[in-house]
Amino acid sequence: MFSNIKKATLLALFLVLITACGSAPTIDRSSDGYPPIIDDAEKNTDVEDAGLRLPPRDANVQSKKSASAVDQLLVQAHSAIAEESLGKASALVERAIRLAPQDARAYFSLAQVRNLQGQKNQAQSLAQKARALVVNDNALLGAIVQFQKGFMY
Amino acid sequence: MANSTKASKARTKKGRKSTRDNRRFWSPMFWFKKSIRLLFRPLAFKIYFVLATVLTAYIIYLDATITSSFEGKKWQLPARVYARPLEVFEGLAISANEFEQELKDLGYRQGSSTRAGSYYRKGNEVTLHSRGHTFWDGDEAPQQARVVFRNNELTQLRELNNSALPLLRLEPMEIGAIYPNHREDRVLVNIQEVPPLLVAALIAVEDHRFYDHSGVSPVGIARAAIQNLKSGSVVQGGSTITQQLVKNYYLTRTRSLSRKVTEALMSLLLEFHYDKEAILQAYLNEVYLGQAGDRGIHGFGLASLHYFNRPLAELSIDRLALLIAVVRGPTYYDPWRHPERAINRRNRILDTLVTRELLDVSDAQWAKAEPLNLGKQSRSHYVFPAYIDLVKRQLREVYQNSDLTSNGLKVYTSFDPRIQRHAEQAMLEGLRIRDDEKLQAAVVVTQPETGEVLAVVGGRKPRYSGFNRALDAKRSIGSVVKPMVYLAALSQPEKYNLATIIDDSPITIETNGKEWTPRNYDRKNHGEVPLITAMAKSYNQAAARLGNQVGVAAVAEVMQQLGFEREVNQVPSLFIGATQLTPFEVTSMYQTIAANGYHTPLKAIRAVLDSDNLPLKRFQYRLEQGVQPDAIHLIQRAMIQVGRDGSARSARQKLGNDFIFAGKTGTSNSQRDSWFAGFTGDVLAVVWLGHDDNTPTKYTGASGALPVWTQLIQSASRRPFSPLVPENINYHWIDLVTGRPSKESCFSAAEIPFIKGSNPQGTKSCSSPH
Repeated sequence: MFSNIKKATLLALFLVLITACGSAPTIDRSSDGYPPIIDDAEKNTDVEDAGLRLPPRDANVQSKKSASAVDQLLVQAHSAIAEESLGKASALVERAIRLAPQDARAYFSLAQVRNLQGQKNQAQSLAQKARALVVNDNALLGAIVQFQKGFMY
Repeated sequence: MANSTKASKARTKKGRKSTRDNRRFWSPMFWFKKSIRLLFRPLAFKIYFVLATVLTAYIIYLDATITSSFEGKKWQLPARVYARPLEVFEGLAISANEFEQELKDLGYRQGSSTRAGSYYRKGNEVTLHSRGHTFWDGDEAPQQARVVFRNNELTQLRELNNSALPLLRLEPMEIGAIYPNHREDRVLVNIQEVPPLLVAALIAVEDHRFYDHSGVSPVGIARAAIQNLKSGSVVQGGSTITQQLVKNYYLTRTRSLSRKVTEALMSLLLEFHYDKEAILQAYLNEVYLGQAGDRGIHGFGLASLHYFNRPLAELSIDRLALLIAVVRGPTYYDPWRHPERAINRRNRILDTLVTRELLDVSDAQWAKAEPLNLGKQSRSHYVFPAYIDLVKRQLREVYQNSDLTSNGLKVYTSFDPRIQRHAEQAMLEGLRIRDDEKLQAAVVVTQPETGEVLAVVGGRKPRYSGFNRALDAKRSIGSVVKPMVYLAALSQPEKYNLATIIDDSPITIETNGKEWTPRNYDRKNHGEVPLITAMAKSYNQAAARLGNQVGVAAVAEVMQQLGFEREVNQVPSLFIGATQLTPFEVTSMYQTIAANGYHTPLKAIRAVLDSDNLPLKRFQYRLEQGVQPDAIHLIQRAMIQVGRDGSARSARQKLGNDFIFAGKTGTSNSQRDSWFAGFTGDVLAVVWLGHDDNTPTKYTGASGALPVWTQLIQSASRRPFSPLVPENINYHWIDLVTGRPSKESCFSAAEIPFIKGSNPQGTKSCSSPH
């Protein structure tokens, strides 16, 4: 079903995904990053606690905790793809998403599985969602952008 | 002469005879007997022939009955519905107590972790031996592991030899089944997996000549007959295991001689065709062993779960003996209703096992000293009717009813027993303190990113099935609609942003000659306010004015983009929620907002496997971009403001300042409906309170539904909402009173998001002193 080149590309990509976690160079989004929440409930009368800054989103806090569990599932999913068992791969990646519903890698993996299943629209939607969830991971962001540009395999 | 003598003798004889014949000739009796005799000989033959043929045909028929049904699918098996399996991994937000509760719900034995289905807890450390399970993505093998908890989090998961274990999946709890009409229920067991002692005990007690007879036991029948004669009534059946199987499986429960004959014939035939193992296996699965409501408990596999809440393979000697005790009379020896009788019979059975050298005296002594060791009578399995209702509806979109009730399907759902428990407790507590017996409730809980339904409460009595308000109560949604109105505006960034000034002065809208004049809840006019403040404080006049500007069609379109599937009644009163939706429909729209504009149909089912564990239908995770994430981000921020200084700020006091959530209150006319719909980082919940007859209540969204929601979030949610910031968004400090640029140091300022280039320009100033 897949050529060896495709398999090799896929393997490489999965390895990128799995090793990229945490240590990759980062895109600095701190231009809209926030200092800790300022709470001034006591001094407010009419407009209470107006001075709200949302705490910075740090998806990594959650993702890192579940990282090894998610890694294991994505590796298994990769094996399933290599065995051309896309249904199983899909089930494994969906399981990873349930463990870590904000882990960009899991959504991107599902985008790839859907692409191989011929569900191009779902693949694109999932890639878009994955891209939105990326926090501080240039390698992953780059891979998703490539995928979205049509570097399909 | 001799001749003449002979002739005369003959004549005399003939004459005598003829005289007699003549006499009889005139007798009707003669002719009657004669005709009978004449007719009878050939007819008897015919009748014997016919009888033999009929009997042969009957035996052939019985034989066909036996072979056809015994070899094929023997039983109709209901579809079984499972909760989500608990995925165990480091970083999982769960306390040691909650984890232990999960193991208890699964019937794990406490005290050691040597066998599958057991655990040992010491403080914050639990060692366990999982049972393993076949899932749609593969087998999960039984696993021994040690887990450590700290501060409501699982911090360490290791194998017993301390090697790393990234992930362990527990088996899923069964939460229900879908039955055929006759409601016979069973969990099939294979005789190889059944504890040998159970089989040995069954034979010893019910039919100890089982391996010697060929279906019927003349000795047994004779003994029973004597017993029955002595007592003058039927006290002993004399049935072999084979006969009992035939009686239960093929025949009605009437007692007649002809049925006895049929039973004996069929037993002989069954033994002729099948070996003892096959007959035993069928018996183990067929035998009636109890009743749970209108559900008949058949077979030892289910009886084990029914009485002890654990699989047959894990039963101790005393429990096995109790199951054998129940065989003789599930009602008479019902261990819940007649514990004395049950324990006496159990102990007599244990004695019998000793007599037959199947059990050591010491083991029997120990087992006899045990209490009945029953599980909870109302298994936690069958007590979530509202959720099961949702599962059935989603299944019926794909399957015929007969597939569901007979093919032994396994249905895996996203049901989370922990969240369900919290939802029920929050609802019950909310109703208890409100002291309104008519007040009804509905709760729907989902995972905000994936759209999986975690829990459903359908009414104030969550154990009773009936009107499922979560799915079926179409109620006025009030201000719960407002995020859709504001989204319709914010989707036009060239015209509207969160700082856009909206006029909250009185307004009258005319359509088709009818005038409509909405009022604010506090009956005050708030003049010119920024959009985010109008939304947070739920001003009706501002919402109506804004809605009128963007048009009712645009609002209806947003509702549909968010996942509302029915037609929207396009009248101006829609702007303040004069439209009827079910809690489930509200959840569906809020789900899309929580998931950054990606619409995912709410689903309860993850996968369905057939009885051979092959995946049948995949309920794929799908998503569609419903609304642009930029506009969604803005409305999320406004919904956060609802909980900061808007209509839901009371929740903030309970959840804490750092625990960010987004949501919206809703109150319909005359407080007929009280709503709160909102989400955190890991839980989305919609709560509705109201009367079934639609009469007014004493509660607004903030005073009725919100406290229930808050309680639920406090116990079930572990992660505050932390919105994703799309690339095309910048944050700026804005004065929430004037909507003008402001500074961090200003008293009424907040940092709010704008689609790049849409933020208001001008000098930064404070509307009120620091």
